Amino acid sequence: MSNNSRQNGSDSTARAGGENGLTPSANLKPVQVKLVLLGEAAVGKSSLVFRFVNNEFQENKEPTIGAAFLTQKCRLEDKVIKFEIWDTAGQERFHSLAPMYYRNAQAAVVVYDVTKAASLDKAKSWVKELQRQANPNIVIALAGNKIDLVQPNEEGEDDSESGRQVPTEEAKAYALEAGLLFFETSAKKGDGVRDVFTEIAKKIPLEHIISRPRQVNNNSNQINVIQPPGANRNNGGGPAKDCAC
Amino acid sequence: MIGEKSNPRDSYYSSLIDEYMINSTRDANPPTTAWNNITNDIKKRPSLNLHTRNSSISSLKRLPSFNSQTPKNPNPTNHSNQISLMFNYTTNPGCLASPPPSPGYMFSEYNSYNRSHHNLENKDINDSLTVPQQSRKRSMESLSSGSCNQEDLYTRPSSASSYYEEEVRNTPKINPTKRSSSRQDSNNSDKRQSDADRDRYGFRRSYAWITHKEYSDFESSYNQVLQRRKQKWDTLLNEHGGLIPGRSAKMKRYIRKGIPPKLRGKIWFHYSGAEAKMKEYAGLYQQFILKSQDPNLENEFIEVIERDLHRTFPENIKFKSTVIIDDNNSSVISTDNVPIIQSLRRVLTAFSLYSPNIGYCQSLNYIVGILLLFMEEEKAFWTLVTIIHDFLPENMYDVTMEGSNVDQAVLMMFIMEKMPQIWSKLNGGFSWDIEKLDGNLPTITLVTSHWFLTLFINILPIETLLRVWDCFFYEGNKVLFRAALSIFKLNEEKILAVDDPMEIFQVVQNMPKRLVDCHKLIDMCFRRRRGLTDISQLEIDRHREFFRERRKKRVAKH
Repeated sequence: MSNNSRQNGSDSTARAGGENGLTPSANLKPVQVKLVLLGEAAVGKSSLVFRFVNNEFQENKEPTIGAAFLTQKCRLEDKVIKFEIWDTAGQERFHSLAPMYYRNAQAAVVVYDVTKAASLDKAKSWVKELQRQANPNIVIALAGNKIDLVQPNEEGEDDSESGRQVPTEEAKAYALEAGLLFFETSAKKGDGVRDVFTEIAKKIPLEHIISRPRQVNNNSNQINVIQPPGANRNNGGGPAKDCAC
Repeated sequence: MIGEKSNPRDSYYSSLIDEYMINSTRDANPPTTAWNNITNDIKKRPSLNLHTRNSSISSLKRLPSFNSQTPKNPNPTNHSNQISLMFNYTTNPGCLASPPPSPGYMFSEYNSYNRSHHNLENKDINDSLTVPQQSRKRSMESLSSGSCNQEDLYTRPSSASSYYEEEVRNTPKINPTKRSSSRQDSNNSDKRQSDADRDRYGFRRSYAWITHKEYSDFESSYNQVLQRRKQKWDTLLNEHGGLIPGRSAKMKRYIRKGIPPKLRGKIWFHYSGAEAKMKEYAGLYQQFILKSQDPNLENEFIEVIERDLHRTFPENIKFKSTVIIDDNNSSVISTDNVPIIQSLRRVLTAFSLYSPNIGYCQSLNYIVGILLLFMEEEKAFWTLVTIIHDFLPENMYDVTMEGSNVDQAVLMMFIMEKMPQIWSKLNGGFSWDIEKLDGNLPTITLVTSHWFLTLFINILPIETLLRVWDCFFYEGNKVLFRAALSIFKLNEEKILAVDDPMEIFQVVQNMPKRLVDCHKLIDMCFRRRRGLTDISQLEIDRHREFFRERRKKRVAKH
């Protein structure tokens, strides 16, 4: 059956704690960040997280039932962050499960589809609910997905913006007003996906979660996705390379 | 909002019923009862109510719970006593009635039916023995070619090293030409793999959870089993002159050992009671189809259904929607010329009219999808109706999804009661306090609710799934609970080894996907002596009633 690789990457990363052999100091304890993805059905929540975790894209992603759990370890400056991600079902009636997803979540990514105006309304209602009921310090990011559908094509024709129903400025203004991080993304092409998680990681007060941050020589201030253990067999445990979303 | 009392579709629905009544009186066998009686007949079970909504249930929502830090010192020996004390009451087991003994079914149309409708029987054995040498994706290789030790199972099957190395060499921004060429590659390899690497049902074999070796070991032995079962079934049916025999201990044993793929559709349709229903309401499905094509019809679910059609088993060859490259050189997904997707659309739309308080819920697409692989459209519709209204508890798929929540509480209860050690790993702060299970549910139910909602589709490997369904259609709802408990029991070691509380979600999420050996699961489901999964429908219904009442009271209190 199509046990396709939706939750790939899950088993290993959860188990791999400290086994990555990145640098001598890589056995520092990862900071766990619980993150939840919310948004209307078929806006691309699973695709976004699939891109982030596996760096792959699947054309017709099957609807998520209930929720799917995935993890991804990343490095930001001198810290290792382990995102524990609940990818949720989008259909309205699964809403009653929502409090379970966002209970204790430190971050939320609320996704809408830039080609569907109604999906932004739904995103706004999620934001409202999170701000009312979730952890008061929760970091919320708003992500307008599917920009590949409205980007000018390679010949530079710009009439293909016509499919867009949510102007960037409008969503941006809303995000600013509501105090959200804002991104436009394409899970299909990978654009902007890594930024979402990087900025979340930067904004979360990690010091509160981690007790003793350690020094690691890594000057990059962009998030690094840490390789799964299998990868280390080939490169002898060199430093983590950039994640390339 | 569906939860409102004055649902316009209700009046629409009754008008449709009137119409049906008028039309059907012209038929040779006009139903003599009024529609109310008909619906009562359809319902069969007292707990079912198609047309009224329980407003107190609609307002039931899960409340956010607090991460209660209960002392981690459970006393496994005492708690089951407490539990049995709490359940010292009797309720009317209304949902227990199993389908009535069947008069038998003529097999005359069987052969032509299969020839015209399915390709299941063709080339199965040869195909299923083929083990492709090259996995579909480079990314899967590290996992699938490796041996199956514990460590490998946990290795992330991602395009890890090669991917990262590439990225470091390239500029961060991938240029479009590079992208399109790499997509081309993967398309080609998809094509190369597509035919050889599918099972007899048209699904692509996934090596994310099951290794090539496990697949081939299993399939080579299972094909022999299937051959043997086919002969046994043929003999059995011959003994009954081509009729499906009535219910009996022998039949139950035969079904537990697995229905041959070719017969599945017929047998499911028959023993579920869907066949009787379709006979009784002949023509009703067509009426719904006609109505659904009415351009003036306002059905909010049509759009929602449409959104999921091309996302139902996109990897299955029969469901694969065609990708058309349009003039602007961009790809458009089209489902117009995929017959099974057309059927899926019609069945789901008809069902949304038939059960307006459910309409459409994600999950139904998968259930209908599997049914359509084994039976024709109208039969799939009636089997869906039977599953949802006769086999599953009420409110499972409506806007409240309360039936699903209650069943999760019941499942947690059984684990607590029968597998205390496993429960101690799952409970996430719920400890041994049954009181807490009524309003809030442990987070692990986010994972396990999927199991019941899709009847294990996308959870269990296909052959294992079908064996569970065989038993489900014959023995009823309890099979789902037995299967769920068996999945836990079979993975006991893995669960007990978990010490990171977050890791448990992944273990529970992924463990059923590895259960390629369907005998193991079925054996565990029906093992008597160990008793762990030996639960009766009566027990289930009592627990359901208990939680349903408590949850209602809880809502009333707030």
